[in-house]
Amino acid sequence: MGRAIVITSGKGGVGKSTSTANLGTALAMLGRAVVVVDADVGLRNLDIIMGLESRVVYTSMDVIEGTCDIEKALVKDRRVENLRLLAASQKNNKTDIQAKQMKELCLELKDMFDYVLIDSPAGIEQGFQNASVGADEALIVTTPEVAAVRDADRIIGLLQSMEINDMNLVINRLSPNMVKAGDMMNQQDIIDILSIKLIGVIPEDQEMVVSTNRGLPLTHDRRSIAGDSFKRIARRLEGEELPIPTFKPESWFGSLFDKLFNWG
Amino acid sequence: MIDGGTEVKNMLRPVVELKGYRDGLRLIIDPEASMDRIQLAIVDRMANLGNSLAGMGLNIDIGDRSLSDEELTHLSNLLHKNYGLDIKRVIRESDDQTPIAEDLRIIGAPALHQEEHAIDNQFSPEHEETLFLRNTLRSGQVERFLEGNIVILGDVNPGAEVTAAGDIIVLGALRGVAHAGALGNTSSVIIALNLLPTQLRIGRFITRPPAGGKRKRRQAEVARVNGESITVEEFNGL
Repeated sequence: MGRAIVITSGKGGVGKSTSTANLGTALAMLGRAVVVVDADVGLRNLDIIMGLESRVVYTSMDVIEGTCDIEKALVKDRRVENLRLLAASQKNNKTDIQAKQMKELCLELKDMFDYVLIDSPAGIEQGFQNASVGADEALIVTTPEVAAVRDADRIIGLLQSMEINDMNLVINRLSPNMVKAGDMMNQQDIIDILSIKLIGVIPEDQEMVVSTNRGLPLTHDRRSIAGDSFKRIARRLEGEELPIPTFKPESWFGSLFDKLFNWG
Repeated sequence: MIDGGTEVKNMLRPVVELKGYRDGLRLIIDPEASMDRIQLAIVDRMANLGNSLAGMGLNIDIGDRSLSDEELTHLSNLLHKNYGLDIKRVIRESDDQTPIAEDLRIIGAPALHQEEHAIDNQFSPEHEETLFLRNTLRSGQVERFLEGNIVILGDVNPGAEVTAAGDIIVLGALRGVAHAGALGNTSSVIIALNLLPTQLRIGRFITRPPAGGKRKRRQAEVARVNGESITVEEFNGL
């Protein structure tokens, strides 16, 4: 039986889909059988971020309605052998799928894969409920913004009421320069409020936008620190004890140092 | 808190009383008083509270008086429009259990048996109860306890709200909104190990921390009403 993990945040635009794509890639690169499920029915984009848009024929809606077999709907990744995508239907609505159907789908996928990563839509309505109902654990993605942390806190409360108590926190788009200037919440501020286990910090990286536009997760780029951060989260999910590095503000020497040496 | 000896209390029995019970807020109406006096008394009683109780259900205890549908509709409108309170039930002495004012969706309920009443009938400092919460209140979570005090063994996060008829004690960080003395008791206090609230309310008084101030104190603090405003100071025992 695999692990079903919902990737969620409450607020939109904090990097749920990007995290799902990168983490799925990283786990598959470790040799795990992984499926990433787009649960954002009606606003699908996980397929775009993964560069698989043109290969999608069937969606989770087709599987639920019995139009096709689950194997047929799973899209094979272009680069990593054991990575699959189950796309969301773009023409349907979030209320077209019932919680019970989603739960059954997750059970079926858990039988086939080591990891089932469910990309949740923003919000706290049925789309979020459907994305979470089949999950055993959750990955909460937030950015160092007061509004994002507030929404993450709300989501954690809702997940607890759904009896999902195994939760890890990813802080995305941390900018060390802004933290130093006092313009951004730091790691500790966020953990103080959310009080769940931190599993990774992704530094702000403009390359991330480029990579999502190209449909090539940054995890493939061996020089990318953000990509590397996702690989480290994958190893922590696998049970490895890895320290979480603190990111220093950029100086010319610092960035040179980062480039020359393998950091933290 | 209602004070005074028994004799005085009997003579000056308030026309309306607002109390917190296990089943919610209760407005107890003097069965002898005229409707006009009752209305005035409600306005008077609620003046201190504004709409801080908005959204709560309310039970009305009318004792052995009779209340026409018209009168009830009138009361219902008064309470709803001005204070956001919705009447849920009308508690009365008579054995008649037929529903009252069906179109208002208000249920008629018989008065509790005398002994039950005796156990329930308390919100005085000697008998007040305390609710213990053993978890953090997160954004969007609301906790209300109108029978007494609340003690929270955890944090109250921004976006969370805690309301008590008595004191509020947070053994953690209070970052959200806290309302102590919610039924008008301005001698209630709010205590937190780390007091960083969005807003504090005690009775009818409201305060918020100065803008832009980022305080990080590791000292328990107490907020209480001092004269006409809420003040915060280090907590060194009450």
